[in-house]
Amino acid sequence: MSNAISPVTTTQTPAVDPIVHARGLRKHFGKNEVLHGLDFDIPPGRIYGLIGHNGAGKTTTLNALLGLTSAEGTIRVLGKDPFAHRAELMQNVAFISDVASLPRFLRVRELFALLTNIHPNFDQAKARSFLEGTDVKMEARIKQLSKGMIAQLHLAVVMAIDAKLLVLDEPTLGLDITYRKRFYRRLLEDYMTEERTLLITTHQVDEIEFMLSDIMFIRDGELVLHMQMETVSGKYAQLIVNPDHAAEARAFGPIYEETRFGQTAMVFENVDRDKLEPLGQLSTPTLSDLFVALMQRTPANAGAAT
Amino acid sequence: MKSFIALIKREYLEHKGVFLYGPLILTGLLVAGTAMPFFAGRMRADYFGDEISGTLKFYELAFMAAIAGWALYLLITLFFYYADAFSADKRNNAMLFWKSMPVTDLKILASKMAAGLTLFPALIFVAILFSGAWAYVVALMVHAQFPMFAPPGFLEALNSYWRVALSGLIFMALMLAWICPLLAWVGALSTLVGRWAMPLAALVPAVLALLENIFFKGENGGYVANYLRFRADFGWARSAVQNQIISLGQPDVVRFTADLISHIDWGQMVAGWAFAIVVVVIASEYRRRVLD
Repeated sequence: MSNAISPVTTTQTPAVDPIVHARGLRKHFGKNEVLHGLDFDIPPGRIYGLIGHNGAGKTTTLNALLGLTSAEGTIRVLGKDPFAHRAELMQNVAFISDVASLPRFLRVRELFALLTNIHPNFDQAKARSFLEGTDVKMEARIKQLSKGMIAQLHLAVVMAIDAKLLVLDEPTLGLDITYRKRFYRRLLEDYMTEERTLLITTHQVDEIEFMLSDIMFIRDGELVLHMQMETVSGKYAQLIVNPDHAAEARAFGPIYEETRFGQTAMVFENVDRDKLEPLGQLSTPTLSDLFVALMQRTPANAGAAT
Repeated sequence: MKSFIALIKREYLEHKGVFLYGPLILTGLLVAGTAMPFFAGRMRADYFGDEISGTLKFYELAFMAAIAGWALYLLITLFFYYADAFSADKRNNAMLFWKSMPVTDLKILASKMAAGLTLFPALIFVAILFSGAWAYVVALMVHAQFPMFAPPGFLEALNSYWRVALSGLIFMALMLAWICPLLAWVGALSTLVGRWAMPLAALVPAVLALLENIFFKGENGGYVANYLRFRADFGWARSAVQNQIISLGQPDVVRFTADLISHIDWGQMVAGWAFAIVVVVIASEYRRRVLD
């Protein structure tokens, strides 16, 4: 089994001005380097999933893009350096980094009035309409709302901002399945347009797979995958191997192999599907299967320092 | 400007407990405490054996005492306000929400600074105005209970009322301008260390004064200690306030103001404001760079 990969697997995107442009993105905390020179572009109108383990560098990457932390390398969001021009940038960028971050001392009505005066692209009427049919009342104090209701309120706030880029960092953390599904459905139905770009991180990968147009896998501060969802099936294949063809399948060098309920599943990269078809049940790996497969691979440069 | 005013309003919403409800409760207690003996008939008559007239000065002094009390309340609450407000956004991860807004960290801290120097003193001044009016109502109540006590006439009381109130307003404005660097210092420290700013605001200068005395053997306690003593003294207000109290005539706003202005060290006033601006800018830069 081949278990070495190049640092990043990527597909080309059309040559349009990217919403996000990052080159050689590095971040140190003391002597510890947590981002190792990320290179990527995010074009407009896409829904990106940034996926990685805890501590892989997802939030640090997002914080660098949002100007919340300094970083080495080149970062441009909507053509601007986010760390130097955060306030200016926030007119066209909205984000939720923690659904519990709304100011708790305010009433919902007061929050909307405040946002109307602070944010030039906030539409209070839209925010109110997004809350129709929910249990969130305008006179309610935010600190008295449940976590799910606060998530609904925060989503209503960001969706009422006419932004070009929306960044969601674990937006549904701690919410039950009903709220999570409603959250994403609302986002897709009421917010996304061709002019808007969405960048989202979550651990519940399967729940957002249906909406993503592109994925980026990050591991230990390095991008290990960056590609459009529609090209995943052309590059990766998952095979539930017939027991008598196992050795034959292994000869094609699966990047991952595991046994599930007595069946052997293998994930292949850049192997002709016609060759795999006779060896078992062939499918495209789900995002979570692909994530597990790629996260367990050894990077191509592993051991290079020794 | 619209967003700056909105941010000041945000400060009001967050701290109205101290600057609106607190004064309302204290005023309620003041009203209840002075009206209750009248309505319950518990005022003692033997205080007024002879006719007491010429009570205008009593009224003025009562109003001035109320101003002093409210000014003290303002000083104490502002100290705690700055120690809390500059780090309040760290609570419950609210910093992430404020960072998602198109306003700079400097603008946010400046709005906190401005709220403490304008809006909150204005609310306390409303309490002062009410206290002055209530002092006259108390004089009328005493007169109703004890006719021998002659309250000041309405027009002459009104004449004193606006003079004392305006003098109080000018005094409070200059007092805030004078202590602004202290408030900015506490706020800036709060941005760094949260509520530990309260002890550190005193501890840091105390350590500096100690080090100066250890290593440079400063005369009379050293430059640092003497400078802090000078800033904390309010010596510029002493003669103006004393003249108002001992004067037999009605308060003279022009003389009072001229007296205050002539005794203020304006070089130090400007230096204090420059210090305040510098520490707030440094604090905003820290807030911009450090997400904690």
